[in-house]
Amino acid sequence: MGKAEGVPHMRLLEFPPPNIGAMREAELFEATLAKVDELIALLTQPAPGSATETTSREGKRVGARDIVFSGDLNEVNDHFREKIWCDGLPIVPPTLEEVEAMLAFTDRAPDEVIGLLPPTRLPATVWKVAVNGVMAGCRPEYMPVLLALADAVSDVRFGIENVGSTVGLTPLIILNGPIAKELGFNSGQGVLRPQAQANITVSRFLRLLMVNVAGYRLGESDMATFGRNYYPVIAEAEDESPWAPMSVDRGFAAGSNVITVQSADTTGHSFLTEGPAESHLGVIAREMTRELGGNLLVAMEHFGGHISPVLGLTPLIAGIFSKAGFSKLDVKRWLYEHALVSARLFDEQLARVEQGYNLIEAVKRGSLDKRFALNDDPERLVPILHKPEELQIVVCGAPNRNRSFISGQFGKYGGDVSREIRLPADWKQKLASVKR
Amino acid sequence: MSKAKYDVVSPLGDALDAKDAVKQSSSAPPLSSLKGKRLGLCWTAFTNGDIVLRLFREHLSKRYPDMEFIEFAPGRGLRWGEHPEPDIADIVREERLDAALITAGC
Repeated sequence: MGKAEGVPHMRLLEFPPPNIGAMREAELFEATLAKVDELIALLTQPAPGSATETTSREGKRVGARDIVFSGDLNEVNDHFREKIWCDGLPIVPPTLEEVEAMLAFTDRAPDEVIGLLPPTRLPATVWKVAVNGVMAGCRPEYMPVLLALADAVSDVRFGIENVGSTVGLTPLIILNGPIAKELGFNSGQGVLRPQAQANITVSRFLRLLMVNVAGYRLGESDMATFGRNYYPVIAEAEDESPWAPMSVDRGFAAGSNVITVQSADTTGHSFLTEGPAESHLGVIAREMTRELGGNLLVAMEHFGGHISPVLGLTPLIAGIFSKAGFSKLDVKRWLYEHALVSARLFDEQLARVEQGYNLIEAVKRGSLDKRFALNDDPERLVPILHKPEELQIVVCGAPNRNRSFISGQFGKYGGDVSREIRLPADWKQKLASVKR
Repeated sequence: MSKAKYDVVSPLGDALDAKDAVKQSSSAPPLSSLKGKRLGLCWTAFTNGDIVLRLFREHLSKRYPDMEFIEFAPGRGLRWGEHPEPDIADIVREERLDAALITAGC
């Protein structure tokens, strides 16, 4: 984080394991006593590493087209694993020929900078996007999607510098528009299983971009307590949905090709619902409370004052709601009013964050709606969203199954960002040329 | 049968690809001594961070009896998990701090 904020040589006093939060006071006394000399030295000596700081790079610059390694498939993969230039799985060797094939699917110049990716703040150029796309196993025609994705995660609202926090969040990617079908994305049965090449390799690309450009390395800059593997891209089943696609909810015109990325804690279990619309809604509200009520992010200002959890509905369940007269916004409003938790849960957590802070104080400060403090009963029930529209609904999965999932989201730690996908001028012709 | 050879390029980002890639501030110069200095103690609400700060205060006070300590409870723009807010420099000036100790981590 210090590097991301431009302070690479911070004065850090590290305690040996265990975490200070797990130590008793007597242990803390001994631990701090043993660290006093080090603390004094940190304050009275130059920051570690700053004395040797240089402003110029040492050694010869490696040009984008320079060959950095030559070998057979196994040797290339061993080299990339040794350098931690990959995710452990075999990669497709990024040869000039393969990278140029990717570049054929964009009108943008190879040296164009899409964005800077903290914590390294290194630039994601069109070229580097292509290289990492090749490695991930993406087909050349995925390139417009990869560029939009790189652009989205370089948006400060995504907060890529928080991906390495102990929470260990994982990006969740949602795709809308006709490009999903054109590129063969799966939106149906097993949408979150790795099988369709487009869904899993585009997601893998993002992980490789985070490793090779953002610079995430386990135990160095990626401090995830557990972490999770990347989720395949969710393509929305727009043809099977009774409603406008999620991208329209986010302000894009119907029919636009849009990619959305945000953090996911986990894509929760696929839970069963039955009966008429209100019965399905009741169970979904209960599951929302279980999945989202534990984190209580809605009341924690330092997570940015906005969350965007995702509710995944199959076409069957979305159809049941629609036939019962529920618009998508009606569903969100119903769930906002019925997915409730005790205010006491929030207040206990907020007091930990700030002494004397609670929901009533948050409402007074204007960071929460008055709905969170209608009275001062600590057991009153309050929502787990700031407003109904925060809940995002995506229709996907096995068309005729009565199951749903909830994906939690961490506010500005992986904030929700969408980008329209820019296609090259001769997209249709190019696409036809590679159809197999 | 010989295996195919691959000549590969680097996947790594390169700071020289963008003029504004490097954002760097210098670390503060060291204090000549802690004698008579004002040290801010900033608890970010992570568990036991308040105890750690109190213990360091006790240890340092024994060595530097004239040291002053300014406590910052969570809340004054110094919330748990938050980046330093823009006014943190104002707080440092207002309190005439020479240095600060901030607990972090979970």
